[in-house]
Amino acid sequence: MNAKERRERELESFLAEQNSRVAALYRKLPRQEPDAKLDASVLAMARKAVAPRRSRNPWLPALSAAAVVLVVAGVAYRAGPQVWNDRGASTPPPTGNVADEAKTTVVVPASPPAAASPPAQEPAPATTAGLGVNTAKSVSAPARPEPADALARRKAADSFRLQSPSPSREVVAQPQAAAVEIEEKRADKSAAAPPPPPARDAPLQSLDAKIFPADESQKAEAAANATEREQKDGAPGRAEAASGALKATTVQPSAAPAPASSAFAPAPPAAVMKLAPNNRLYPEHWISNIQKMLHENRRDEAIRNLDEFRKQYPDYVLPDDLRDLK
Amino acid sequence: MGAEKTDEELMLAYAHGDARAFETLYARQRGMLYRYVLRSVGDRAMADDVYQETWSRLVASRTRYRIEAKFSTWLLQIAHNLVIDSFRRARPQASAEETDTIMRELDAPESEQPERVLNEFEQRRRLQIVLDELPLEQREAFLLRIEGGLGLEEISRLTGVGQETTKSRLRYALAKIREKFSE
Repeated sequence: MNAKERRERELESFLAEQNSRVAALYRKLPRQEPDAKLDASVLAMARKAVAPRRSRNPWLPALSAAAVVLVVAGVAYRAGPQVWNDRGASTPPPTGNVADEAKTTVVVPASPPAAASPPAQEPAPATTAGLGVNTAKSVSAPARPEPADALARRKAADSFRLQSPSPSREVVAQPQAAAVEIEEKRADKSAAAPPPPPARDAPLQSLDAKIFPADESQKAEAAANATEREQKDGAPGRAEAASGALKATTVQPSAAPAPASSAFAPAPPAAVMKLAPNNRLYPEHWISNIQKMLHENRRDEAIRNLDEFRKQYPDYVLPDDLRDLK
Repeated sequence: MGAEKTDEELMLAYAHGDARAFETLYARQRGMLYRYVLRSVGDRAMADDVYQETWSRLVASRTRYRIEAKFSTWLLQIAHNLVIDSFRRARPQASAEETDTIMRELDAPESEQPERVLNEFEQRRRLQIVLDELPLEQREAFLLRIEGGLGLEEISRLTGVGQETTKSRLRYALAKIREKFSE
């Protein structure tokens, strides 16, 4: 067996690990192994690679949200004064004086619509301002000088409101030019004129009931009061008139609950006066109508009204232009 | 009781997130791989680095594992590449201690030389020395066969050479070992 054949056989024995002296000797070599620290390192790395990441997930959204909130709050805190300063450039900053603030922010129309504006000149609720600003406006709005017509309208409305039993009647007591005149004249003469007789309340109440339809209990109470007064004064005709006026309002229930839009609809003062019989008006209004008739060259009608007026109010001091009218 | 899972099945299970499968697989392969690395590089510290890096690369490429070869072949392939890289970075040289040992053996009286008084312990020590003296290619082929249990075809594919080259390397390795023991 030459050397080449011997090497081939040795190789085959080594590969087959049969009768291989080298292989047997190698198996007797010390079998080194990695130490425990190296094992732990490898196993930890392997576990970490496939470890579920959900352990971090529950905190990530919360932490992210908290971080976002902090950032936004920080930005808002830092940018807040700048924003207010920018706003202050266009609108003056709040001074703490409610009246001053309202003067600068509230825009009061010079001549509000006669029919649509509330009688007490209450400011419209602001839509762009907060509640505090709105309150400041309502408080400070009268501090502004009111136009003459608005002031007169409010005075007239106040006079109507004082005498009308129901606050809802303010809606109809709109500021009217004629009413303003009447009220002004009445104010001038109230000092000299004697107090009106109590009997005139009956027609006035009936007029009120017609112009300002009240609920059924108020109507019934008004009718009962008028009848009682007429019986006391011995003037049953007026009581009947008052009852008739009451009937006029109660018989037509469809007209009583007028829609809000019609209640606010502008009505000319003259038309209102003509709708109501003159003998049911306030004495001042009646006088005013008589004067108006004279101005309109309706002398006969004025005289008839004046005669009737003298019958109803014999003690009433007539104005100069009517005192000699016969 | 179900049959024990093969190395390949365990590796697939680990690739799908089963850490316990890796623990079983690691327990099976740790000794073989460490000895192969240690005897390849001849230095314990370097062997530890190569060993850990071998497992690290296996873990990183776990999702790309396909059962196209034995798991041990894939593992040894990774380790072999790292061993070659480590030798390229720092060519191994005989340490001073090793050189002294060799010189003492050469200078010793014939009656005291190892071959004269060989016992089992001395045979193992001499085998260890001759393995360290083998060229890297021959040592790799020898270790892949005797430690990794790979056949000629697997060693050839793993080392990127033909089977005849692998045979030749093994022949030279065996001849040097035999010569060392027959001296």
